[in-house]
Amino acid sequence: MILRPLLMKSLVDHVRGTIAWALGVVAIVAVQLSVYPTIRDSQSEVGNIADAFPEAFQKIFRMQDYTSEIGYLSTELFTATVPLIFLAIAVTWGSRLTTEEEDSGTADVFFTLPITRHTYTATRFVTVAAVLSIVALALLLSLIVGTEILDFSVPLSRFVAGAWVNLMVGAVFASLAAAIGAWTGRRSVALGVAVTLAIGFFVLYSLAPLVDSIDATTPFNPLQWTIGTQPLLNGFDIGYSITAIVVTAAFIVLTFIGFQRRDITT
Amino acid sequence: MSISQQYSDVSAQPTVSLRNLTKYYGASRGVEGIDLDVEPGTVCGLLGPNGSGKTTILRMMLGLLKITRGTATVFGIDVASSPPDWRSRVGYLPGELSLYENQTVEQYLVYLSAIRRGDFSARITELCSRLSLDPTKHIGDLSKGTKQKVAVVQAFMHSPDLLVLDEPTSGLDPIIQREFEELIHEECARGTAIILSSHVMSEAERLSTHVSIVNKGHLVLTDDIASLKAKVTRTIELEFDRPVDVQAFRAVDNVQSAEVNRQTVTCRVVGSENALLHLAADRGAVTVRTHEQSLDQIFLDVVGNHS
Repeated sequence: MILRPLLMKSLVDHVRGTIAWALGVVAIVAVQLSVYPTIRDSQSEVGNIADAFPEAFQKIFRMQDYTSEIGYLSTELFTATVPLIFLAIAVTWGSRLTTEEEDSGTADVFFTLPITRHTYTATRFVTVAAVLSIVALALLLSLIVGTEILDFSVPLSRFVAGAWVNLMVGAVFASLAAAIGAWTGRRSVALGVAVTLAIGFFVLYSLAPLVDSIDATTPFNPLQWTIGTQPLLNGFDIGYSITAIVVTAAFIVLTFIGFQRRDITT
Repeated sequence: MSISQQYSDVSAQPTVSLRNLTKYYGASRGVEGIDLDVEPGTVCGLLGPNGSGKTTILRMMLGLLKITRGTATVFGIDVASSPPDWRSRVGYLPGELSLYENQTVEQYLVYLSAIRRGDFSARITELCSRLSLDPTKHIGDLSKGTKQKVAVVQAFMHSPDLLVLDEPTSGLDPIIQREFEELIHEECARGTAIILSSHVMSEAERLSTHVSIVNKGHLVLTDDIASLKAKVTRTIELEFDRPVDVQAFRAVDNVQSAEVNRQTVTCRVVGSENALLHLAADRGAVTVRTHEQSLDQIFLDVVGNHS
């Protein structure tokens, strides 16, 4: 089911991009962690400042117990910065999952080789999963090493849950972008629609605590199923994780069907 | 209207068999009602104006485009409903070519070989040598013509039983074109069925054993080259060493017209010229010159008649 030469080529082609994304995550974690000792040392002043922020601001950034280790990391890393990186990787890779050969004009030779489109799609999904997993692993390791150095007392399971939900952010939106690309055959359309949806969901997720009507949409928002569970504060949310997995699986199935049914164009 | 003709050996299974092959893009027609057989060891020249549907036929046959109606079978296998193993016996050279620019020629060919699950290194070395292609070069640094050589190698390297070549000599210099034509002849002699889509009529005429002409999405003519030429008007000039009676030539079978100018009779013939040549020999012709209509002219006539 997996086409090894294609898998190896895809990974080699994108190894630099993957390393860059992983290093970016590590750098952000390092910077945010390096700031925390200052906050810890001035806990009461920073706490007062945080409390003085407008309530809406506090709600948007989920600023609960900001001066605690977990509260700080949850707000600074898991509310926007890291999930946005996973969103960016997801829509970029997902949109070209089935369209890359056509975009580059190499599809005519490639898809007349003795392989099925299902094999191609499966291999490409494995590639995207590998990239997202590598970046999630970089996030997890940088959190473990960084907090060990700074002597944090956050349970490992919370960091695993944090890396997991970001991986799920990537999985949902990568498979969404892949499904759009598979049905339309156009990377630009897949990228545009997936980015628009991602931004839309992010805005709704951010504003949900402020507006009741928007709050009613959160059960249907992929960001609520993932970062909305606030994994550093609450740990794993099995129910929402299953929801994210099922929706990802549905988008993957749609990708297989869409790519199988359409014309290969150049 | 579509015309179908079984080529050469009717007892052999055609390598390619298209029946009522039709493609619509939404409401827009691509091609319609294409019936075509291509036998092993023959070269089918697929000709037609730009946008006539040649590439659409090839792409449906190879499984790149979904078939709206009809069937395409290759090696007796329905391409729309079968696993793609049959494509391991197919070589395709697309008309619009892009390669992986970040690879060397060798890496590209080894990559395709790995997907084809074969080791074609000996054949690749031979083909690169014959086409003067340096496999160590980066594809991104190659000229259009040299990239075309890479495309030729990837199409031929696994010794396929069906070669589908869409504008294959585009960008190749005359020396390499000659080598390419030699390759075609070798493959044809080996029993490979070849479909050659080309705008270059002289090339199609040299290489093809059969011709199929597509116009406005329909197959308007399919024939072997010899029969095709026999069916079109040829001009035959007969030079005598004494004055001759032109009326006798006008009465000969297959002669459409005959004109005399001094001691030269110019006849327009459709079909066999045997009777004419016998009469010319009886009357003491000293020179016979035949002006055959080129494929170019035949193509223009056929396409013009169907416009």
